[in-house]
Amino acid sequence: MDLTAAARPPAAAPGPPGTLGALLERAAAARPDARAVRDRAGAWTYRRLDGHARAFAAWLAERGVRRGERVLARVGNRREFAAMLFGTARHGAVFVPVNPAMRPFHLTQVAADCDPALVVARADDPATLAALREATGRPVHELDAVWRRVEGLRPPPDTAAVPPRVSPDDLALLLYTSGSTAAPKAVMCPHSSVLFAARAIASRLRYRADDVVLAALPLSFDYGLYQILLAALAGAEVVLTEPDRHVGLHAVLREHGVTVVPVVPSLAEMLLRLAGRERSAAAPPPVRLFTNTGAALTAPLVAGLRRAFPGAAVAPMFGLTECKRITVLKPDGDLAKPGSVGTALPGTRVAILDEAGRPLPPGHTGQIAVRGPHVMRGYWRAPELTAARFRPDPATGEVTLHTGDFGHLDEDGHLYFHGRRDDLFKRRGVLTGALEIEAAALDIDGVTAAAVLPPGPDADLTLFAVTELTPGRVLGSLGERLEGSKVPAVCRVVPALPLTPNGKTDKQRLRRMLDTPQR
Amino acid sequence: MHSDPSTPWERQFEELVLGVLPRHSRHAPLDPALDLKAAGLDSMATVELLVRLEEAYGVDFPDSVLSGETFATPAALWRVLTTQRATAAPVSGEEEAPCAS
Repeated sequence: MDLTAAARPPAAAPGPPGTLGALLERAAAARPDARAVRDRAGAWTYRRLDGHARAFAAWLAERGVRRGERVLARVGNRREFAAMLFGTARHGAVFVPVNPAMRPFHLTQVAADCDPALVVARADDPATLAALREATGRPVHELDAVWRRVEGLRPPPDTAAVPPRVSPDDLALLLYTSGSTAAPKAVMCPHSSVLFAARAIASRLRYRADDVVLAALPLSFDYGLYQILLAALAGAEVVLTEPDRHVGLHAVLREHGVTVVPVVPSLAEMLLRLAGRERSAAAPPPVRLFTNTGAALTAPLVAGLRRAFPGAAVAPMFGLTECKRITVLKPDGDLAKPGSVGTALPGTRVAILDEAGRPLPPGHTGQIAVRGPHVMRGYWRAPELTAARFRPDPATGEVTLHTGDFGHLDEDGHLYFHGRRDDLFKRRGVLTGALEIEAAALDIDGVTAAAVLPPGPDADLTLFAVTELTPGRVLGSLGERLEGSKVPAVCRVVPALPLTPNGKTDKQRLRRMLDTPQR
Repeated sequence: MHSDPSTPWERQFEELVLGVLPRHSRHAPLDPALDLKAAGLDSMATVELLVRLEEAYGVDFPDSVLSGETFATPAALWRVLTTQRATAAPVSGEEEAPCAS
């Protein structure tokens, strides 16, 4: 696992490069009448999805959008999203999806940063479009109106401009990440890297043509978006849901025969709470596989999923938007390798580096670094930030992504994630990670969720816990599990942990809660 | 700004709804037209409220009402709950499954 050893990835990299447009064309040719994508309003087959994607490309041409220009999409988990994703890629423009929940303040920054040719937005109410025009300063097209026109372009007239030639090196996506930096930053994702990552993940997870994949996570989040690509590779169906349907998620799973469910911890918790109210007479939904990344499932959640969905396997994974995915553990691999997030994707390498950037041997904790065709191009219009994280080898030019995440590898190349750089700290001289303390807190009977804030200038090590126990009991029980330096000074009991739209614990909001006095 | 002085529902209902809202939104009396989503009722809290209402009132919400509309406002939720209580068997039988999907 020495990054410096081989300059090139193994030749057996899965699949040739290509473009997202070609991916959909192949799926439509192979399984034209299979269902591709479903939302609340209905389903499209691969043939229809392909037709809508071509028509959306024609619509972009009609609007004068040029190759390489950005198309900002605020549409949420609707099937039009899939057509826009493939259609924009087909046209050679760059698709920039944002969460409809994104606040105007943030959206203004994103629009200024990505400089889109136009915006397609769902209007939740009449005021939305005006606010979006104000916030972005760009032409804003209402989704339903766009789609009435797109329907008219389907199939596109022969006279429609020939789409610009699209190269695998072109950018397909700009994905804004919810990083800890104040300004929004977008990862530049070329067609070739996106497709390489999707194929490599597919080779591990093996979605089947008869799978029905749930995308309850936002499609603006790469974990949600890639479900569309993984399904297209397999010829499978994606069922898109939005948060207002989560309370009826079990009914959705049953009604559509969902077999694959990608989850973050909050979604898994919700599924378990809902499973608890299911009548014993009702057959459990036919889920065969849960995947997890973004934020790691806790051990009790994994055990709960296995209990509530007998026969379902769980596949932990690890990654970040900057290279999409680093490792995938084969389904149920956690039984043999508890706590591991798997081995590097085929055709890629992962290593653990010390502070000087030298590879560390197995068992040693350091920064997780990655090489391979899945490493994206860098941050959009942020050369300094790109240079800091995407570092070319002085000799070969091959880029090593420095993830800012910490962990270790075992002798078999299985990765174990310890935390973000921000989550690692020294207290009373002992190096500790927030994850370690959170795991110990979750081990206490009666603690259902936990988040740790490292010591800062204004506050000592603090634990936020969702529990019916008293703070004193929680800290006492932690003292039985951890050495003194790792036991938080304060425990705050909260009704729920604040989450980002992508389902990760919102530590910035926790930080702000520190400033408010406790009741 | 709801000005109706009479409470349109039982105190227990109001307490259950307020109990799942974030602290900054827990203002009694509960406005029947309050936009619950805007008040901070996220999907996790919605699931929690569903489970607590079913336990407290001994009813089962059928799949057909498990949607955002049901949980849009306290008034909408109370309407659905009232309907479920009216149709629920007087003795709540755990074994019968009236909710075919």
